[in-house]
Amino acid sequence: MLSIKNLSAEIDGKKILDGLELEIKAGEVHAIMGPNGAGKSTLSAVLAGRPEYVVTGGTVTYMGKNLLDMSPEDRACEGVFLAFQYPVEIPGVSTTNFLKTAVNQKRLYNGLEPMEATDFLKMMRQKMELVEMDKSLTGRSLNEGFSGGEKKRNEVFQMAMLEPNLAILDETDSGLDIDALRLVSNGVNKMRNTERSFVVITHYQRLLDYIIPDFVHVLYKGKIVKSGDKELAKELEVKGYDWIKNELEAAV
Amino acid sequence: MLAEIINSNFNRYASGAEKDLFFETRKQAFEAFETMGFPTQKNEEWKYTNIKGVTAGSFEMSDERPAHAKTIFEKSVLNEIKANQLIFVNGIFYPDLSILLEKDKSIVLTNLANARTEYSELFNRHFSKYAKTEEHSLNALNTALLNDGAFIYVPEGVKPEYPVIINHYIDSTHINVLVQPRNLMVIDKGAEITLIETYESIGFNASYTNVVSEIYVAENAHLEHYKVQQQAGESYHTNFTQMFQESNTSINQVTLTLDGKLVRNNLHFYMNGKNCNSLLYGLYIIEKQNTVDNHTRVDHAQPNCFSDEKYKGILKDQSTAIFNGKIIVHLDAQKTNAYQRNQNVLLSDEAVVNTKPQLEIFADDVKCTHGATIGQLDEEPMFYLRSRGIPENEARKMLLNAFADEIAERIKIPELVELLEKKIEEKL
Amino acid sequence: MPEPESDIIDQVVSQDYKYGFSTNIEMEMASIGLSEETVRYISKKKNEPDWMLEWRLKAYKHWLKLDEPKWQNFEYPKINYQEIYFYAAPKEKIKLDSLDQVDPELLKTFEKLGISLLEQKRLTGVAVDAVFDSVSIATTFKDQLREKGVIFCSISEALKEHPELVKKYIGSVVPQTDNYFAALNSAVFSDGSFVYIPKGVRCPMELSTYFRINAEKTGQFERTLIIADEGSYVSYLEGCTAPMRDENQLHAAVVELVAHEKAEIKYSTVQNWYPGDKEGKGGIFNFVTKRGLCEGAFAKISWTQVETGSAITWKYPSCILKGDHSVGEFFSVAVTNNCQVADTGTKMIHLGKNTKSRIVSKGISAGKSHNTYRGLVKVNKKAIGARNHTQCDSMLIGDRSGAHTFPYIEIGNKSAQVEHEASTSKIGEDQIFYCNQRGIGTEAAIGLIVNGFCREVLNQLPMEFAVEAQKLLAVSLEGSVG
Repeated sequence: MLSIKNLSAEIDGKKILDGLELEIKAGEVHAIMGPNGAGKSTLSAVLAGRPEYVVTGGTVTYMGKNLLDMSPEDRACEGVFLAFQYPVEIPGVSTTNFLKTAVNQKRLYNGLEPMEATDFLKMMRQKMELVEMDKSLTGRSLNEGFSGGEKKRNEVFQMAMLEPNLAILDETDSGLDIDALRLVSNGVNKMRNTERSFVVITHYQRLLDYIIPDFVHVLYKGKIVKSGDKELAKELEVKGYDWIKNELEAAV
Repeated sequence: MLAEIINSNFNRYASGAEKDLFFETRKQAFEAFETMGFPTQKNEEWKYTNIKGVTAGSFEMSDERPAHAKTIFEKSVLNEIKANQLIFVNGIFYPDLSILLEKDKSIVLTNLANARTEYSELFNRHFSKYAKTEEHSLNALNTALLNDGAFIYVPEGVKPEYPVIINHYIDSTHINVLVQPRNLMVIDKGAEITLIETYESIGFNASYTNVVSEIYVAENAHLEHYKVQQQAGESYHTNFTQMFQESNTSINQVTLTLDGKLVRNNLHFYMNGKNCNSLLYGLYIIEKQNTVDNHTRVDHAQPNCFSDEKYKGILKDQSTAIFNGKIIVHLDAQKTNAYQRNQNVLLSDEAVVNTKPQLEIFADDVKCTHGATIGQLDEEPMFYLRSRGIPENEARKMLLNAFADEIAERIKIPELVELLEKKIEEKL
Repeated sequence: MPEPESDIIDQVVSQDYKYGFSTNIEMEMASIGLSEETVRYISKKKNEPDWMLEWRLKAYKHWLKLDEPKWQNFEYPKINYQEIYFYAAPKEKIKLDSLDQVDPELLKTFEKLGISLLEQKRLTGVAVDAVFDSVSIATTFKDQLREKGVIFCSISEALKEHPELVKKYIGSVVPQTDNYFAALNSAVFSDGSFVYIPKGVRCPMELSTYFRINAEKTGQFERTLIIADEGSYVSYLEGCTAPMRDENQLHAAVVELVAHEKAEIKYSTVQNWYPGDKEGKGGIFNFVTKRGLCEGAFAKISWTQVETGSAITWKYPSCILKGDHSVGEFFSVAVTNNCQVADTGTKMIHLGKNTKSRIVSKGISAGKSHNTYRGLVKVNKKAIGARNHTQCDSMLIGDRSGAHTFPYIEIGNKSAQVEHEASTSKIGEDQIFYCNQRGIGTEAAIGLIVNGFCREVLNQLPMEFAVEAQKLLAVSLEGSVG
């Protein structure tokens, strides 16, 4: 589904990603872990097409297409979803209105008619149940005045509505208490299937107790330096990131 | 009335020993003033302020050196501050009373008349380059008739140990005086200084003081500037301060207006370089039928600058406050952050507030907010204090002090804060 | 690679003004230019009583003494008043009560504008007065309104049928001598709407006037007068469009509202005059005087406006809060794009005791346009207990536009509580990217964000018009973007 080869990227002239390699097949869940400043959020931003980030080398192929050639909205319509670490507030725009626009834009992109209002509302209700989201949130302005947990749940709810092929979760666990973490993870787990892939970016192993990954990668200084299965995350939890750093330095 | 006095005083310069190179500057300014005349309320910038009290008055310019200057000076509260002091009485410099503590002799602390000859290169480079005469007739008037004032030069990288106080005493014991003080301060690259400009008065006759201060702040320099107006009684005071900032400079400016029949402050900042930081804070306490008019203008002419402005006022009796704050964000002055607030507390039914916080924005990547509030003291904290047994009067005083505190906090000289607190106590 | 935003700005081509067509119909016009004769001609054409002619002439004579205002912070081409037709009417004589006799070409024109004059086709609950150039073409639902005692007709008709009401109120809020453009309007106004709601009546439907400028080189000078008698309520809406022409056309209207004790008038405007082309050629000069008087205690006047059209807009719908406990409101959205200029705001004059006013203004500037909020809140010495809250926000799109705020606040009473808040900022890049990531393109994202930004004001509009206004906002900003 996603093939990243030798990817380098910078922001404001500062190199963040430096020859990153990653292969993701349909239905797989990949966790990307790493210390602060390793380039985790940069990876998600580059995949989503944030304009401030400049790709200086390498390729990203998504379902056979050159992802880097596409505008952010086309990537979204092609099924790439980014759950933001810090979801932005848009005053005056209700979540319902926002999602209706997004869902219909995606349908338009795929040559489909806009959804009937009643069908759309039905879909909203179903998906809200899926992520156990409070109905009152959808009437309020998008993310405005939402708590940290509500914002993250709203991200997962939107993911459920947009049914992406590839979902990237950027530190979705940050700022969540244990109950919110469980709710968010349940939502994600219910969406796992053989067609849909996930990239779960996190600093802590904690989230991976709830969303069990197929693969765990360690990102350090802009590239993947170690890969393994879920046991790698547990090892990291025990030994800390210094373990990786020391190991790498010893190898030099 | 005043027009004739101005004419005769200018003619004195025209015929007197003054007739040097500087006379040309005076002459041009005089002509500019003649064309524009005194501002009237038809002028948008003077819509709410009537200076009839000035224009219809009779004032004299005086060369006399009052014998009692020394006693006035010694009474000043600000005397307690360990600082360099330049003393002027009715615009005339008193070197014998002035105090120079700085050991670093590269710092120039003198009077403008002296600087004109002794530091002619600096003088010519900076004098009348920042405060525009063409739009502001009172600046032209000042340039045409100026007596004297402070000249300060802080060389590159120098950080004077002590603050500098510029004391302007206005003595109207015998006559109605007309004074035109003119100050010029040049803070060179990387230098840092604290300046206090104060205006005090003695005597019961009327006075009209029309000040122009130009302050040039070179790259990476920092300035703390406090202006304290406490001329009392029948004092009319108009002031124009122009700050001109090069890149990476910061200025913390506080304007305290504590007395005077009519006070008009024009405080203008021009950010000529990137990454400037300008803080403007003001407090005015007005009583009787007095008027205080604060006009500020912040020109964001370059990108990445920050300005924060807060003016607060307490009005008693039949007093009038005017606030007009302008923030202008020029084309291409991207990444500008500018904030402005004006808050007024009215203590009397007959007090009047006219406020006009203005934004003019020609760039898009900006964050600007402004706001104004006018009202009485909040009922709720008032009730809270009283329910704890504090008498109404005390409670009011506490709340007004708290209101003023936000500005007092911006002053980094404890003696000045004390003076302010004392004044508040007196007035309220 | 995705395109940088700046490229999108360059690439996106502005959508043409949707209402730019003109109607080919035979017109009857006053001779070009303005003189005492023109004023007499108009008055005679309308068979007006003598007092009305005298009133007009007084205004004309006063106008001659005035100069065009110069205090604004923008330049506009000098208006030559001798090159404007001050009266233009479709030639066929229209009997106002019968739609059958309206020129089918005119009916078609209004159909095309989405304003059906055939009652069976109209949105239920909205009565329309349609003004084409200088005259009212038709007023719908008159009979149903008459049952309740509501008078809704053209002002020409009101002069014939209810001269005493017109005489009593015309100029009572905006005198002939008020300002340059009000004096001009008073001299040459040709038509407009008249509304009278009797005591205690809640007007059963929305009233609406639709203004259309069609003829070349004409000015439009309509006059609207709405009177809500004690305890009555009315909601009124005006809309407007004009063909695309290279010349600037002048629209100088006067609107007067009078709300008596416990009466409420809600006045909404969706202004979509032709804004000129991308280079600023052509477009309407919209110089309008709108003022409401809360005459009695507990009266309420609420202005809502969505301003998207016109080359230059210059209007300050105001409230004079004379009655004790009266309330004034002003909700405004002004969008400018390309070379448009909007200078708009309100005046809230607090005279009575315990009067309240609220101002919400949202300005959006794009392209090379300038958008100014200019307002006055004045609390008179005797206006004890006055309250005002003003919120005035500007959004900038593109780096060649300007947003300016000039609020005047004049307070003469210590019991007043006045708060003014304003902010200006760029449209959020983070917000646009967030929308992009959900599959919403930049243009649509801007529409969404701008509509959210204006939500508070749009919510004030009657339902059908709110939807219309939302679409209008998005269309106005097409091709603006950054």
